[in-house]
Amino acid sequence: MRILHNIPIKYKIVIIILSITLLVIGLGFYIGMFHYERNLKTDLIHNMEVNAKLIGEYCVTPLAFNDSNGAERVLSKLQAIPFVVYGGIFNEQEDIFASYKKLEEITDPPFPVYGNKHIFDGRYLHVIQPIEYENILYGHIYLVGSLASLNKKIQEAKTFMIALFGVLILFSFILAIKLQNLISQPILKLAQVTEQISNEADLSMRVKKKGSDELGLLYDGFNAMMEQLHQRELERDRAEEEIKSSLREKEVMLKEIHHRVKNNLQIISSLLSLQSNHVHDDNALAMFIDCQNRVRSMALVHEKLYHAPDLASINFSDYVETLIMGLQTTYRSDFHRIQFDIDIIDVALAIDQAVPCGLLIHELVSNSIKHAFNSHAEGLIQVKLRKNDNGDLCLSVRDNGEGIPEDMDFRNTDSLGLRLAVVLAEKQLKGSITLDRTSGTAFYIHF
Amino acid sequence: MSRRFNYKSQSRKRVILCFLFMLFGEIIPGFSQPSEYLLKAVFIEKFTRFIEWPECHQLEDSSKSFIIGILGENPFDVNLAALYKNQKIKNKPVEIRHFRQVDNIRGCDLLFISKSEKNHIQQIVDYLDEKPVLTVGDSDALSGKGVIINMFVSDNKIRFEIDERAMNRAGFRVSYLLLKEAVIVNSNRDMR
Repeated sequence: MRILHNIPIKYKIVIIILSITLLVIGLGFYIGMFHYERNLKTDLIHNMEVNAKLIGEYCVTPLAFNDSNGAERVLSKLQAIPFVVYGGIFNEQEDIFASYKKLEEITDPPFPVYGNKHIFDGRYLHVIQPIEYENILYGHIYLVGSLASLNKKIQEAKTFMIALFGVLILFSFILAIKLQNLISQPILKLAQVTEQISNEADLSMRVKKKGSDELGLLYDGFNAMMEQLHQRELERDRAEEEIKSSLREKEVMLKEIHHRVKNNLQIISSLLSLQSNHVHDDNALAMFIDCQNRVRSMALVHEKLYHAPDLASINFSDYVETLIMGLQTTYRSDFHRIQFDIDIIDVALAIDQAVPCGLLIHELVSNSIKHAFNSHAEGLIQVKLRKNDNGDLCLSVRDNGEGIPEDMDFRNTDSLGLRLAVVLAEKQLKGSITLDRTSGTAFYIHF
Repeated sequence: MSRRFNYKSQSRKRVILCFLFMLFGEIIPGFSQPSEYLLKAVFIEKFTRFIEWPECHQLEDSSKSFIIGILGENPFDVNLAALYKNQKIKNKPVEIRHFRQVDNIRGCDLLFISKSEKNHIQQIVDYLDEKPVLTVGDSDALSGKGVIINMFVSDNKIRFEIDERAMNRAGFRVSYLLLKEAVIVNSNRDMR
């Protein structure tokens, strides 16, 4: 049965029809043949028994008057029955009294001993009957009939049946091939359309039904299902288009916001720059410049953001390089003797991390520029961003300068830049900041 | 399990006895042509099996004997009496009577007419005309003379002829089986 699961439905239908036809016709022929053979045998037995009775009756007086010639004359009538090969009359003593032999080589058999009045031995039918008249037994008649004629008839009938069986099976096969289309074609068509829909992703395709039977209902159901899917797809496409449109609008809006924030921050920076032109106190001027740089570093984040493809995160390496280059403008006089080593991994940071990180780098780098080196000493500032094995990021800003004095607590200092760095690392980035004074100054921020 | 056909009737013993007597007769010395008359004695009983007596004849009364009369010389000697001593014909015991003359014939059911009476046959036939007595002859000379059954020897075999006209006159009915075995004389067809 498993083989049937993997063959096409048209062959399944043909196999099923042929199997049923084969079974029914075969069974019918077998029963018919059985009845035919049984009827032939019954007729033959009846025929032999009637003949035995008639012959036996005519042998009553020959037996009674010991007239074996008369009995043989009666038996000679068996010549008219071609299939009888032997006829014997046995007297009361069960001795042979008279006999008829179709062929000379046949010898008289002994008195037959059978459990029945007749018996088939494959080639012959043996019939024995008592010869009685008015309840007086005179002897027995024993007839042997050849089954050649009967077997020939049976063989002919079997040959005919087999030929007819073959013709009927062939006819049934042709009919099955033709009629299976009624069932298989609609199903195959449905399968074909389904495959076409699957390949072409065209939910607008439908199957055209030809009847109102179960297959017609299946078609209706399929078409209704496809209609629902098609409608849903249309609705989904519409919704998707709306979402895309909305997203585009929001992207434009977000770009616009970042652009405007950047512009506003630049305006603030420009205002601070203009304002600083009227400041004559060096300390106040430095504060103005610091503020201006801080605002610029924030503006730079927004500038990078609205150029970013997702508008949500920036390439931090690119940002840091731009930021360091911006510091050149402020500390132009110092840059010719200070080298920068920037090693930032390729990482994208969101605005809530990018801004504090940018400010941290700005504060720590500007702090190193301002305080780590003497006026004419050459130095190196390293800015690195690494990712730890646990996934945390580690930002380090290191210089090989004189270092922060041992008695100075960077957490409790008057330096706004260092205080700002602590706040940014611990409050904004939710991380930690440590100071290493072993060789120059190195700040490590883990977040 | 096989079983022999067993259709033996009650009369089987009787028939076997007949054959025993036949065998016996052949070895008993002093009988002239013992086999022939023993067979004829058996034949007489066989005739009665295939013949029905007229309805007016009271054969149904089993208390009475079936009387076989012998007219003239008795060729059976004592064999006939010995043969039928314990036998029944038509379900009646058999009694053998011997008659010397026609006038003495009384109450017999079957009359065996001996060869010695061939010259008185017409008288006998006239006397028994239309009487329910089955006449059985024993001579070629009695053929066609009104004896109902006449036995004769042909090819060393005992054959018999039936006078159909005489049988009809006496009111007997005979089985076609017996007619088939017999030579028919004075057939009804001839009368037509």
